[in-house]
Amino acid sequence: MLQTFSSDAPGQGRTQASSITEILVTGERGAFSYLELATGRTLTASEFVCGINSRAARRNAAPWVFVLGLLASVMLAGVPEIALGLFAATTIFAVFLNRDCQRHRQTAADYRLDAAQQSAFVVLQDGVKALSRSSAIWRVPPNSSSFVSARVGAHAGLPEAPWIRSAIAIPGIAAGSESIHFFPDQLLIRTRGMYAPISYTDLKVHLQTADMAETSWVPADSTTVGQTWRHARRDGGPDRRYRDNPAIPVNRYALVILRANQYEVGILVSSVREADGFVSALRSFAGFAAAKPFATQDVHPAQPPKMPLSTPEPTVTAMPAPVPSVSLAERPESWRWVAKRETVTVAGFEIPGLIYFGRGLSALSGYDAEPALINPSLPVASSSTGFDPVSIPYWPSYGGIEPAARHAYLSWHADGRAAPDAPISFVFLYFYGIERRILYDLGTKSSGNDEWASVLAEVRRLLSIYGANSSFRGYASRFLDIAEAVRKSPDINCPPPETAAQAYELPVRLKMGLGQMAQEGRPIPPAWARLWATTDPAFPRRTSFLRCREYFDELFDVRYCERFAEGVVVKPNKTLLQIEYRPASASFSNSIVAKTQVPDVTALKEPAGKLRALAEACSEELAPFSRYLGRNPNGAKDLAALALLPPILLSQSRTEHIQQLRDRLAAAAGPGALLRREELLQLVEFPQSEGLSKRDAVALAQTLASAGFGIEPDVRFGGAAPTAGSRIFVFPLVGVVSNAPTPAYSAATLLIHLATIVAAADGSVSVEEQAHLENHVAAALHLSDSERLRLDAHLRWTLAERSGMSGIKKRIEALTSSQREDIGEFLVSVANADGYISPEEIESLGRMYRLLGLNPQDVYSHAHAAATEPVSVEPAEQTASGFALPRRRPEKAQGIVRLDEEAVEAKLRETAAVSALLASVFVEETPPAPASIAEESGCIAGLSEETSAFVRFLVTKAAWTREELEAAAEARALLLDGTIEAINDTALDSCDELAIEGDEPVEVNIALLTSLIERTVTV
Amino acid sequence: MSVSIRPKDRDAVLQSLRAGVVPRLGLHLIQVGRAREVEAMLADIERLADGGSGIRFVIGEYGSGKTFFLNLLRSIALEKRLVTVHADLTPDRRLQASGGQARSLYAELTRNISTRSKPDGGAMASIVERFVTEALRQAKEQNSNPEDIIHSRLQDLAEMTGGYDFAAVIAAYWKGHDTGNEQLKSDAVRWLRGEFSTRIDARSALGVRTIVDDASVYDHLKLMARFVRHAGFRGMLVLLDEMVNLYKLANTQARNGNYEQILRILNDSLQGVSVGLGFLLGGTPEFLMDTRRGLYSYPALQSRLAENTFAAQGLVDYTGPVLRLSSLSQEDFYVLLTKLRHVHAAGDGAKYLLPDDGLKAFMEHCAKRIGEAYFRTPRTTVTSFVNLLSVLDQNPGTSWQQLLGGVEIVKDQDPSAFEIADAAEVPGGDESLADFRL
Repeated sequence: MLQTFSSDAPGQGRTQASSITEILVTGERGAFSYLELATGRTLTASEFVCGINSRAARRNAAPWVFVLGLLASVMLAGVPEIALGLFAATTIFAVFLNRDCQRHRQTAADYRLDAAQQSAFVVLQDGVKALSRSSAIWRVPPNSSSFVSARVGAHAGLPEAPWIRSAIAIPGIAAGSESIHFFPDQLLIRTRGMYAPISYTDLKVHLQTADMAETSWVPADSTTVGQTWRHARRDGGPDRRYRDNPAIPVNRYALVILRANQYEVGILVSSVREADGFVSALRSFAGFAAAKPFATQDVHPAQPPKMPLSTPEPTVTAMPAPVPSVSLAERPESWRWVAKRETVTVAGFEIPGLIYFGRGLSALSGYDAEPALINPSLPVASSSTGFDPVSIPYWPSYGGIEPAARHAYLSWHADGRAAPDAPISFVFLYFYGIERRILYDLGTKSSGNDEWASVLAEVRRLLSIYGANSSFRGYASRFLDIAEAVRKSPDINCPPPETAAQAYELPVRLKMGLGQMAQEGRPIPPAWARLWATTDPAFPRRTSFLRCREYFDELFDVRYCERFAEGVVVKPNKTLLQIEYRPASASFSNSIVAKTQVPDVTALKEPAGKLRALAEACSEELAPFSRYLGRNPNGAKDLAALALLPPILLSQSRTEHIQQLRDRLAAAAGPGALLRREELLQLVEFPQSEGLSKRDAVALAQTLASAGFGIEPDVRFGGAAPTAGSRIFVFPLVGVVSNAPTPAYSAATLLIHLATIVAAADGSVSVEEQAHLENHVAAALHLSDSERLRLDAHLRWTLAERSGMSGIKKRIEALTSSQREDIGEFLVSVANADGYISPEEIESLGRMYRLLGLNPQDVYSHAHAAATEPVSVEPAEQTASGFALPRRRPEKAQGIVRLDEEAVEAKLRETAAVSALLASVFVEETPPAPASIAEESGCIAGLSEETSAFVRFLVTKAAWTREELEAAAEARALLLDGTIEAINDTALDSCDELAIEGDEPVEVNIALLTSLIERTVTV
Repeated sequence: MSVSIRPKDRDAVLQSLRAGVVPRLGLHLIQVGRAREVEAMLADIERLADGGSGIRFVIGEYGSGKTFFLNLLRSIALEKRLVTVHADLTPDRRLQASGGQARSLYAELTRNISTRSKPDGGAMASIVERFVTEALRQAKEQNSNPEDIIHSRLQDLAEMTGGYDFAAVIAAYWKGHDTGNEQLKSDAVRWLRGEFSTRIDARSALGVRTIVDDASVYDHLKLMARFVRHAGFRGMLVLLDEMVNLYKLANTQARNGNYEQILRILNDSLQGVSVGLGFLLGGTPEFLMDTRRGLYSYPALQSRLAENTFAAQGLVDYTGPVLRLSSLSQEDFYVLLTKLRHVHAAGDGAKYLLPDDGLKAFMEHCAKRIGEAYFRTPRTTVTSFVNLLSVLDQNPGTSWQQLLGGVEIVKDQDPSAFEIADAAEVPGGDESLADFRL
């Protein structure tokens, strides 16, 4: 193993080192002696280092010689032969000088180590080698607050140690101008061209982890433990004010701090595991170097175990105890896997199966004993006294722990491996064996299914007991994943696997399941999709997601079904799923990779992105609710909180609390019911209080709306917050529900409100008035269905509550003037719905008109028009013009006359009737009186004797002066006007015409009078 | 319908319409629709003729044809041998007042007193003489003193307020006739017409102690109604138009006084106290319905005028005191135009000057100019139409299409849009004192 690390053959240095200072460093039993071969002087360790430094600083005269030669040859340029010769001579001399100086600067250290030292040094070499496997190493100032800015890239391996030659490979770490060299005898630190020695006894090694936000690149073997943002908020979330705010992974690195006297250096290692290997190796080597007196008693397996402690001879039931040997690693010994039902007895403990037992089983990586192997030949203390769990290294091995620890470990086994307070190292130690058995021994062999299953069951049992330890949980569950994936495919009909809350990688079973679904062309069920989306490392696990997990799950399922209906079907891709497992056991040197035949659909960007976006949208939707919970940690059942939930959850959630709420509401409201405010609040478990603030009222309305119920009055739709004792109309909502009123709806409610006041002005709302209002609501096609439903509820509430005029003025201000006019006319039509507008209604209408900014005088015209024109409820089709308010008259385009032929016909008929009626009045059908009829002798029909004589006098002339007539009348003792009246009356009766007309002169219709006289009958 | 149209009626109708006023004759020729209303009113008039009483409020918008309707009823009443008196209320003519405005109304009414043979008013003397002639004839038959006959025939009037003096005035007329004292005759008629403003004048002229004053207007109308029955007529119909002038009285007390008077008339009429006396009051909707200043503001009237609540949704009650006239519709207007054309052609279908399309074209023309108003307030449009017909008539061969474009149509404005500020109205000193402030 050593040879593989050596860069030079040992003899090479010696052949060339005629002027090289050679120092023989002999290590024996932990001590080193330095012998300078040239002088035979024995040096101390510090003299050894000083010598190296002083030699390295030796002056080199060669450049000077070369320059002098050059100058001289330039001066002798006149004689080219001499000059050329001189230049050649000085150059050759300078080269020789230089080689000599280089040689004198060198120190050749010839290490002669004894076996113990050598094997210990090999461990150290391996430790550094482990370090070199790490993807990235940096040197950092150990006390710096920010490693990232101060770190210097480093390199572990076999860095060259200038001016020192050694036959053995010296491991070290080089970082920039500084380097650390782990010589077998001491640590040499080279800074500014000088070596500083540090004794291994003084060296203190600390290992700690450091979580760092990694801005540059993420080393492959580092663990990402979280993420932050370039601009992070105090609570860890992204600061939304910045647009360019990418997520920055937080990596867990190992920080190894080497400290000695004043010297201190930090080494940041990307792989915690490798760093741990390095530190344990270095500690063990330092401990070895420091513990010279006990060097032989060291418990390192390389040392033959001397047993100062009384150990009972281990007995093994299955096979004879092997003889303890000096190096188990080098000699194949007998060991075996103890099956589940078997037991072995070690140090008096009866240990159940599932362990490796025996000797000589080396680790899979080859150069160490199998850590999990319970070697019965190792000493076991008689009790666990003095056992300190902390003393167990990070990578425990049965061989590496103290006898007391072994006692505790074995007793843990014997007690059934179930003590919950056992150190987790024991569990790991046990688990190492299981890992090896399953992943190495059984591997991909098809046999051994029973054992496979029983071992996995054991791991599950351990997981149930020790799952609290995140490290173990992680290893164990990943182990189960890969173990199961190798043997059998997961059942994709089952719900997806449970995962830890924080997972930074998609669970293997999920990947397997998704791959299988893709292969079979099956859509991904919501639960699987949800798991995929939420375990996606790129999914920002917002507070809302973490806090309201239950609601998130429901919401995601709902939205997933909405969006993708059946589910997403992923086309299988060519990348096959590889399951990588990094075993916990140090026995494995590398990760285990299992190749499957299932496509790795999670490698596809598109479906994952779709689902992630959906999940992000869901968590965004829950954010208001989550923030409320943040403010009120116990408020999950508050109505105000429920109001913030996405409505779909309130109407569909299977959460017990919400379901109960829905049931209660449905029972109370039915198709719509008036509830007292107190009843309603009790129903929804809302804290009762005198006044319901507007905010509460909004919350109430929102929650009920989400649960599928509307209320009236609704603050969001312009209603007032219900006061104590008032009643609220609750009704089930249908269809798409809006949260704010449209202008049309606002106008309509105002209309309803005003109309109710008008209708109720005469003390009661008559059936016809109510019917008229309901008709209006039903015919209000310009409203959406849900708005009409709400309007109907509003009407019912208004009719029941008869709220007054408060707040109306403000609402009216939002209306246009034409809307106001239409409202006004509608109000009149409502008042007239019962065919009669009472004075109270008139008064009320007048007030409304004033409120509406209309001319109050118009009320009378409109009321009159309503009373005279037949009330016609317009067919619904006509109102679908999209206008918000009822129109009594269809708009007429200016200048276009369209006559309603039917109406004209009706009018003509009516006119004919009235004409006939009037004709009966004006055109009397009295036939001319027959001449035979005479009442008195010599008298004209209907006139007195004197008058008749007057008439006979009248016909003698067509025109008379009034004086003449008066004289004539007087002569006959007649009053002129009365007589004329009587004659005219008779004339009208018989001939329908006036006989005497005019005052001055008086005109006489002689023909008429003559016809009258002709009818006179003389008796 | 094939009734021939009297030239007199035709000319009266056309002349009036050209002048923009409601014709007094021949209205039946151009009446359009309103059969139910006419029917109802006809029944009313028949009842009056049989000695009954009645009152109707004819309510209609400006331009809806109230005046036309009232005039139609007036001519019907005359035809039924009723005496009619009619007057428009004005700020100076009211039912009740203290400054002579009520007497003024009475004077206006009696000046317009009409009979069938004197339909244009001024029939007072005729009516009185007809009565006297009858009395004389009776006296001659019974050989008694005509004055005694007059007094005995007017016996039932004497029992009524101012009845005795009324009889005395009629007797004075006879005396004037008998003695040839024309002065006495004309004084008697003047008294009857309410033209005496002081009692002293009346006493010196006629020897009576009372005159028709503001307070006794209604009483005298009742006396007159009885008197015309004695004179051989069947009753009297009082038509009061523009009642909105009462509504416009700014002074509450004055307004209420008038409404009180209306209430009195209403009560008497509906109770049948007055004999052969009917009232027709024309007004606008606000006059009826305004709850602050209209009839509805007077609670007693309000309850009496309340419409029949059973007459709902299509059922119409035409017997209530309120008769509502609907505004004209386009169709009404169209029929009216056909009627006008018919009248203009003197009932001869062959002489029509415009085809039916011409009527529609005319309507469209009007609609373009003034919109809906052309048929809602048809006064000006009817005038234009009659003018158009005249031009067509006088210029044979002219195409109506050419003329139509030149017809000017002016929108008819409601002239009653002002308020009667009435400070002088304050009766007595109480109100003055109330107004007096320190």
